[in-house]
Amino acid sequence: MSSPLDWLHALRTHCRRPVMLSIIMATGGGVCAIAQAALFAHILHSMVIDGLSREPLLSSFVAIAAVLLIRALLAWGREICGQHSSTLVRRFVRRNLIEQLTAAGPMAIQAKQTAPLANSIIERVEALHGYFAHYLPQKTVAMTIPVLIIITAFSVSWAVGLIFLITAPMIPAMMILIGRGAEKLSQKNFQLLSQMSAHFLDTLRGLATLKLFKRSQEETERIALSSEKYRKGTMAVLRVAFLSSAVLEFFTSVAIAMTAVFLGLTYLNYLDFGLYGNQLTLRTGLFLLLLTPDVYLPLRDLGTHFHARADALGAADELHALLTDLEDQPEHAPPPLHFTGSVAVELRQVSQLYAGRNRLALNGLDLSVSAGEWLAIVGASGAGKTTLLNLLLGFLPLQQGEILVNGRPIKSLDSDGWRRRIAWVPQQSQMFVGSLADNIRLGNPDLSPQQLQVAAEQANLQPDDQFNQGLATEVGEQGCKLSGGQVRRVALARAFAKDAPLLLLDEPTAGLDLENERMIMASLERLRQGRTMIMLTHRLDTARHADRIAVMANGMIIEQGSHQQLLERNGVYAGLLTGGEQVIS
Amino acid sequence: MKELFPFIKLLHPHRLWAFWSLVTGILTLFASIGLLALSGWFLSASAVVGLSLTTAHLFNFHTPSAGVRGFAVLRTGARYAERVISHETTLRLLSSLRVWFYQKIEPQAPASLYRHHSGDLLNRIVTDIDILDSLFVRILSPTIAALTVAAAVSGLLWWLAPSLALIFCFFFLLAGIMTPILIGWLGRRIGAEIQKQQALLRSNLVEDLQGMGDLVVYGAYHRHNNQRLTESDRLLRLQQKMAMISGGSTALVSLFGGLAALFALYVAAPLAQNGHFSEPILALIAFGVLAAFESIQPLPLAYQILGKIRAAAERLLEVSKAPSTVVFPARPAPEPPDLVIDFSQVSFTYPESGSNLVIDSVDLLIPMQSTMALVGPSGSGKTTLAHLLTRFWDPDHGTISIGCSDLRLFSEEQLRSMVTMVSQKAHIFNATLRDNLLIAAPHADETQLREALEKAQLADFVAGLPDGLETWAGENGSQLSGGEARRLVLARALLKNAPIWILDEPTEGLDNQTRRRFTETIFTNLAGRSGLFITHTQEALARVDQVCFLENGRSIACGSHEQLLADNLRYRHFIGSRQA
Repeated sequence: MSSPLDWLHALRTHCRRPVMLSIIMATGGGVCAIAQAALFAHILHSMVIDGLSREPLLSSFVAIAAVLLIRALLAWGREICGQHSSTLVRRFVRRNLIEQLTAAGPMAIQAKQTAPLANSIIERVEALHGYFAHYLPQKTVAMTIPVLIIITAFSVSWAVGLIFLITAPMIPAMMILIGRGAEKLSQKNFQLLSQMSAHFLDTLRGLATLKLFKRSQEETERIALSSEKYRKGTMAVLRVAFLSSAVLEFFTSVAIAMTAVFLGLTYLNYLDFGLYGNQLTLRTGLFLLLLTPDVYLPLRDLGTHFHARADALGAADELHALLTDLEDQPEHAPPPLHFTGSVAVELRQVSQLYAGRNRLALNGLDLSVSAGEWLAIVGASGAGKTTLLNLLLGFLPLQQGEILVNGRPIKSLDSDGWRRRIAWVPQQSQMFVGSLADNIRLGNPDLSPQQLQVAAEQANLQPDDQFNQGLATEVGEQGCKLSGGQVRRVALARAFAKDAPLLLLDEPTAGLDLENERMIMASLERLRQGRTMIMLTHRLDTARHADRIAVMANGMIIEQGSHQQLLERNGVYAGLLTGGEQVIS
Repeated sequence: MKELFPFIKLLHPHRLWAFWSLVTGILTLFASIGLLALSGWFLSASAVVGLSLTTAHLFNFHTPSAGVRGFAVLRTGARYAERVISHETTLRLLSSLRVWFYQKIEPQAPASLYRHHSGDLLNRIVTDIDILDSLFVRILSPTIAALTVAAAVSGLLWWLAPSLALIFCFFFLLAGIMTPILIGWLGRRIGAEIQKQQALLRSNLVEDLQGMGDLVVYGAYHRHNNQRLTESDRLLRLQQKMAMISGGSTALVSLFGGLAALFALYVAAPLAQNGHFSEPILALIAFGVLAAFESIQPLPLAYQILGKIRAAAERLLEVSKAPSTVVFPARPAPEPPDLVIDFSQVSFTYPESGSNLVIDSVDLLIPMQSTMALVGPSGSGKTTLAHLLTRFWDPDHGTISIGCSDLRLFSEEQLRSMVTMVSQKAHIFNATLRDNLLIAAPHADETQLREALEKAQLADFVAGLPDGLETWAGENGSQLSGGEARRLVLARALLKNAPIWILDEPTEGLDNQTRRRFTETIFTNLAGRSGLFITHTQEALARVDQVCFLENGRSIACGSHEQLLADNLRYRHFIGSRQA
């Protein structure tokens, strides 16, 4: 995968057959066009020259109707095949994106922000459509049909064949000419238009600010001015770019005119060449004339699909960059780890940089947590607590030092197996559309109703007025029907339901009122039974319940011990409790 | 179709462009028809006269062959002119659309635009406007051109024989009117389903991406990924159905064109043989009718787009119609004797949120040159309260006054020169730093700019940039760090030099050190001004004169920070939980 263009080309393998089918149907349509021209010419000849009435020609009339019908069906089938090619490609790319994102993990997703990512997966993938549905087959059709017609023309008259060949001065050359123009046209046009839109969007976003400075009315003029400026720029490009399609148009018209005049003068006996010595009949003449526009039509169609190509190239740039980025994530697949029972964790001299920054989040950190212990880690934001948790979850690759799980390095564990041993309650748990039960179950669809009920009860997620349908109550998009405290309790219920030996909690009580905090703490006391629990918190009220408290600052543990021990030591922790946050930073 | 009229009216200033665009478009079509029909006739006529040598040399071939060449040149020229002029018209219409919309939305902003309507809505508006610009070039122009061609061709055919005109009109109606209607009718339901499916996929995808951590740890990602792919597959299937319909329409139009020529020929044959017109006219009829259907080719697609255009027009009209909630008097009130800010029994509800009181009977008094902090959980009404002082909204009950004059008596100019806001949400425009500063004071000179930058402690940063003040700020200030962006906003406020400042979480999202230094800068600059400070940082709270603790839109307690910490358990608890 060296360039976006290569990537786009490589996608062709996923739609070879429908693209081929589409080309065949379109070329079949070209054959029909030739047949149609021949039949029309035959009828006109018979009527005008032979003076036949329409009755003996009825079969020809019916034949034309049949050809028209076949041609229409082929055109329809071609469209469907084109759509199918694009469907196959888009399905593949979408699957690929989703799988890569999952493999890259939550930290990579966070770094890229969810809205633009969702946009890539939906809109940018849609932008590939026109290229595979229309442009790609048309590129071949723009060769096959003209060649077919020119050969047919040559078989009747080399002079007319020559007119086609000269006016379409080597079709590929002309295609390049149009291609460049049309491509420049659509890219430049697209670019300028999106710049103009971006400026307008910027103004709308800043409307409150403009209003505050009473500048919003003056902005009207600037919008008009910038639109004008962009219009002039765009038109300068377009005036030139349209010339290339005018060239094609010109050749089409000239070809028709030259053919007509050549044939007309031959009839009138002013000219006598180019027909391999045969007498020129009206049938032949009209046949050739009717074919002329069809030589150029596929080329013109190709021109109209150039914007689809530009769209796809733009999308390919973005998607290829994204996929390449995600591929950089290290991938390791160690043998599956089988262990049961409790979990002890030890960190030795762990150092870790903040993603994309030259600042240490963890600085030679040493910490051990024994099986069944409840450890609280306190410290200011920026002390490195979250980085520590992300390392344990395997969301970040370990840069330096060692993390041991029951004496084995965490790097040697297979990540799925390791995560099966963890229950995690993040600061902001995600709620998914569905019922409360669906959200509690999350990774464990086989959970029995009884187990579900117990988990909910343990987490103090009691049915009340709001949950009128009990655990079947819908939580709404993004859990919008739940309060902050309820979301936290659903997350705890998830942890109860998972029944994993290691529990990781990130700020379980932040932003909650007293009542909710009490409920959560009561649940935590139940949850810790028989499990190892590591909890990050700002709140000292919350931390004091733990067996041991570790105080973190600047990526290191600077103090640890039980609440009582730390108070007696009268160090940083004691200072925190009495004097506010100034002490650590 | 009513929703399109206001937009068609916007074409009025550009009517000359639109007119010429139409004329050239129609000329192109006529030249195409003329070229083929005349060529066909010319061939047939010369073939007939060429049968005998004597007539052949009497036949005037100069006029028709000149006509054929003339049509060839005309077609090329007219097509080029049409493309240039129609794009010119489109871009001019786009410009008018933007200005029109902005003028509609500006008086009611930010009230109707910013609450409940997210950035998504703004994006939507911009896209809608871009869609509407094709109203002329994709809809009006091809429709008018096709109708003109139809009228001219049927007129000509009528003159030859009325029955030919009837055949032509019949197929023209089938292809140009019935097909688009049928396609539109078939496509509407699927179109709506596609939209719904896409929205569903998007919202579920966003949930999954946000919650990827949960999904991975709880081992649910596999199932969720498969669900998303199933949803995507359903979307693709719907699109496939849609393609079947629209592909069918293109096929139908060319089928009807061919049939029209065929039937016309069939009906014309006996007429020619009866001497109604000469035989070569048969070729003219068949070729002419065939070519005339070229004008219909763009119509089915146009009417598919029409649905989108109408929906876009409806949305824009709806947004632009919202009444302007806040009206300023034209003439300024007498200068207030002092700048005491007084909120008296102020209550407020957002228009969309029904009876849910956001601010509930709040009383606040901020003496001159004094500072007050608003503290409370999110959703407690702090920002709303501050916005009431800028008159982004007006309270439903109670009054807000500055120096004993009701806020509503001040002219906009007057109020804006008294109150300014420093907020983390202040917008940084994608323009140069200078332009971003000049928004506050368009006529500020170099010295004033320099002074503001000094005070905001941004001077060194700007001096260190290769382009200085001409540096581009990037989209949403993306070229600046968080701290620099806040300082730029502060410098902007300093340039405005208003005596009352609203500070809406100005340090939110900054790291500890930057936050402390920026708070210091703010308080240095606040000297001699009044300030309403939304914050929960300790440094700021310790330095303001009063703190007002809000919960659920009510003022729970007021006093100094120390006082509240000592007396109020809830406050202490709240501050404790926010300790960072």
